[in-house]
Amino acid sequence: MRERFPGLRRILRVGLWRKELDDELAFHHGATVEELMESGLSREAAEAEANSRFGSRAGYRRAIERIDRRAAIAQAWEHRLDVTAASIKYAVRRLRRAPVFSVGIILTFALGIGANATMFSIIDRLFLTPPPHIAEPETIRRVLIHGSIGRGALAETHEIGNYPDILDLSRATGIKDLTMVGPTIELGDPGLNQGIGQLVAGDFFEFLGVRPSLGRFFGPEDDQIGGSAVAVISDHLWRTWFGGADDVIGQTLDFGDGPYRVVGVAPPGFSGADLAPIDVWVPLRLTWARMQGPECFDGRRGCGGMSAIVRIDPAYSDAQVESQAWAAILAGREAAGSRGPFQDDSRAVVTPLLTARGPQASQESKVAIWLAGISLVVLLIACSNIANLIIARLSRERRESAVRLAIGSSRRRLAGQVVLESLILSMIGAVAGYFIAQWGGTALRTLLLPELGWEVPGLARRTVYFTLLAATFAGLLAALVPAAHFSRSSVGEALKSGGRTMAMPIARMRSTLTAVQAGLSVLLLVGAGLFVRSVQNVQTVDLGVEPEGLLAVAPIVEEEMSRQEEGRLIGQVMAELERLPSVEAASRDLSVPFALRAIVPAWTADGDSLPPGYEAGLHAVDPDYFGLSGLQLLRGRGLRPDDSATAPRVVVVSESLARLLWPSEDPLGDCLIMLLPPRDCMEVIGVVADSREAALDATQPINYYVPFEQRPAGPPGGVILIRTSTPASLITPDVRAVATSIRGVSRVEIIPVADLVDRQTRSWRLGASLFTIFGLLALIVAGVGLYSALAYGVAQRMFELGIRSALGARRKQLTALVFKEGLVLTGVGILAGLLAAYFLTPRIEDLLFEVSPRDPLTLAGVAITLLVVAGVACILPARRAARVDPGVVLRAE
Amino acid sequence: MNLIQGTLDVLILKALIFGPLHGYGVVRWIRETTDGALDIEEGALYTALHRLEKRKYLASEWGVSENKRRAKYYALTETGRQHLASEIRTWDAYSAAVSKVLRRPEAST
Repeated sequence: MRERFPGLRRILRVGLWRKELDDELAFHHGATVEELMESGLSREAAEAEANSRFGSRAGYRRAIERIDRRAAIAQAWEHRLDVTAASIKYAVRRLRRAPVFSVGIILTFALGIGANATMFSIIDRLFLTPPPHIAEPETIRRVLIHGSIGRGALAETHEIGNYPDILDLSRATGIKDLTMVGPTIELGDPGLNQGIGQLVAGDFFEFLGVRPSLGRFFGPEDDQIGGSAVAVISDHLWRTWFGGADDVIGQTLDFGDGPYRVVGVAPPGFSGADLAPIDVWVPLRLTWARMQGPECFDGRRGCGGMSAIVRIDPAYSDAQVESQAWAAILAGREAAGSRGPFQDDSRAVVTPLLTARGPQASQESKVAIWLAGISLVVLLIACSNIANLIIARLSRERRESAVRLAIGSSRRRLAGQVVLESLILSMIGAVAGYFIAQWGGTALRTLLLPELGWEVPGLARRTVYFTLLAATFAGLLAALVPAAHFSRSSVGEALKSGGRTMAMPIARMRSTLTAVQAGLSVLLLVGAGLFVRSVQNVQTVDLGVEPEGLLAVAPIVEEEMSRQEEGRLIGQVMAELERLPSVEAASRDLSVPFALRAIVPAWTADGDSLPPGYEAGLHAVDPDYFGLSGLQLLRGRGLRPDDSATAPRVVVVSESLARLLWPSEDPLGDCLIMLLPPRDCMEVIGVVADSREAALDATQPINYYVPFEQRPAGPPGGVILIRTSTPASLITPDVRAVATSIRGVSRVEIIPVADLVDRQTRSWRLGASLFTIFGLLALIVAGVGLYSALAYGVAQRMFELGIRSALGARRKQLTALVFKEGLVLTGVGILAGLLAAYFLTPRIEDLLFEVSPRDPLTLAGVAITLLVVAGVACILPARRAARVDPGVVLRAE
Repeated sequence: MNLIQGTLDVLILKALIFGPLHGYGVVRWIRETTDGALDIEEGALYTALHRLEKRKYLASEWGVSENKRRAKYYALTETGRQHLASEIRTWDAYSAAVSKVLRRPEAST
């Protein structure tokens, strides 16, 4: 086939334009000389005059050659584009000729790319893009403390907490600027049904370098204890609650502790230093002093709940800043003469602004990372399946491509055509995949990260870029093996075989791809199996406490109430609640199962305390507590109404606590002493079952229960737990009405305990459902791939099978032949997949719930599932092989 | 008299408006039209021809000259024609403005 367009390299090599330039200039010279001689000059004089008129010949030639060379290159590119356009047209024509093939591939691409695009938006949000509107986010860090809190507690990473300690950080050289945020609070404004507010330091907005979209932000001058209260609201709240009106500035919001005047509106999408949306920002010192009293900011005492956010000097490494920060905190503590909550093992930790990248990453963000990995595996399976389909088609068209090769088309061009077709299909698949991501992404986000806002500037654009990138990658990957095939096939052989027999390399390639798919499916299904087992375990785990029907009611009392008054008031609320017909039982407590735990170290009369790493939770409860929580009394007695404030001090301990402190004796009758005053002997009167209320996977369900009336001085407040058979949503209004009708109670928080457990099991349920979806997807793709490979193999081997049949092979033997091939192929894949799983799954161990990452039941189950699918995929091809009629097949030759 | 930068391009385009010419023909046309007032090196002229061709203002083709020799002929393309028209407009506006300034009677100051 004649090359229609000269290749780029050829243009440059031959340098046709150089010769043409010579001719052109020679003509010019000749014509000039001729004209001059006609006017009477001698030849020599004419030559000289012509040369002088032309100017520096060498110089001009160089200049012209440079121009011509560039022109030639530009032309070659244009030609190349023409060639590409022609190839695309040809490819599209070919793809339209095989619509089933094309649509199948497009759908497979769409699924693979869509899964990845879906995960990308989540990964981007959690791990890649800082919260919007922040100036120079790369220099911002969080400063945390790693160490144990209190004696014998487990070392963990936690916020610095104390206001003065955070201020001390400014003395670290590597910290250029710092601000702090307080806790987020649920807004109590009766008008707002559910709003989230955050306490932030006065310099917070200036620190982040963000500009208000309306009004102004508050500054340090607004953050004064006892000053007039101001608030900045989010764009979302402004639009929904205030209807986007300009006169919002100056209006007031009331969160139960007095009015806050709105001074500004944050830009759209702004969520402060975190990713979860915030509705209102209020000044930290002012609000905290209103809520908790001004002594928080008084000297060293502090009151916790603050997080430090700093800008670091890029000249220092994070490790350097860590040691500087810790030195600064220690220096401040030394000056104040108190160690505060810090222990000997404490040290400062500098982490990225995005919490998912730091040590405090949520379980959900870990699941997200794994899901991203899985979606990549799904894409790999999709690509290998597509490669298989392309190879099948190519071998059907062996004669066509052989003819093209024979008449002079280059192998590179044929391989290029394969790549081009694959890319075209992957791009169309990407468009479909993008829509899958739009639709599936919304569902997945609400499942995985319901609390995050997704109105993020630039996210849509980045998702489009990523989708294109993924499509290019997938298109190239799928075409890799088929295109490589052209470098090996020989023209003569292909023409001779007449496209009947499957050439060995193709058979081998297809088998390998099928085995790879089986292996990858095994990997995904093992993951799915482990998560499903985790969910089973989570759901059947004996929590000790029965969360269904349990409601935590936390009355918030008016300010300036003494602890005694508060305790009495809560008792009053409980008495009123018990009168409600739907309330079966009620008890006060200091802790809320799965939400709030008062950790107070305790030891025996002999001074035996818990081994390091174990924490004991203190409960101060009423006698009904064990009945209503569902905790089984194992030995001794429970609490009784006569265990009053004046009666001898008693305590009920959990089974684990008893086992750890009294490994060999009976705890009943012995003494337990807790850290809080009066620190006297509490007689152990009973042992109850363990309650896993700290965390579902807690290895230390250690608790002890004292009568509410004998509760220690120290932990404030108290909540009321009620058991009811009425659904939480129905009883909530009654409970709220009763509780708030009592004088002194300003508002009440009501939390169904089952919801708290649900939240804890969410990551497992998510992992199980998503792994299962992806795993099944992979299984289907692999099953269909195996089927098509086998069916194709049988079709290609009709001749051979016919001969076998003619030579006396029985149907059973022919069937066995096909089954053997299919099962061996799958078996190899399964073995490889199990091997990979064996080494990979231990990495998800901390995401599982009481399942070994190499759980034999799961591994075996997955292997059997895959073999069954492979067997089913073999049935049809095997029946075809068995029905082969030697007469027909041999005559066809 | 030296040429203002870019004027040569316009002259060449103008020369070709009456039909295709080879390089030598363009040289002769410019010399005759300006009565030799412009001192242009012919090398510069060829450079300009090739540059204009690269910019697609001109298209070239090999043909046979009046005295039966092989010569490269340049013709104005449609883009070249439009470019020339716009250059002429610019030039007219420019020279009118400059003339207005230069012809201003000095006595009125």
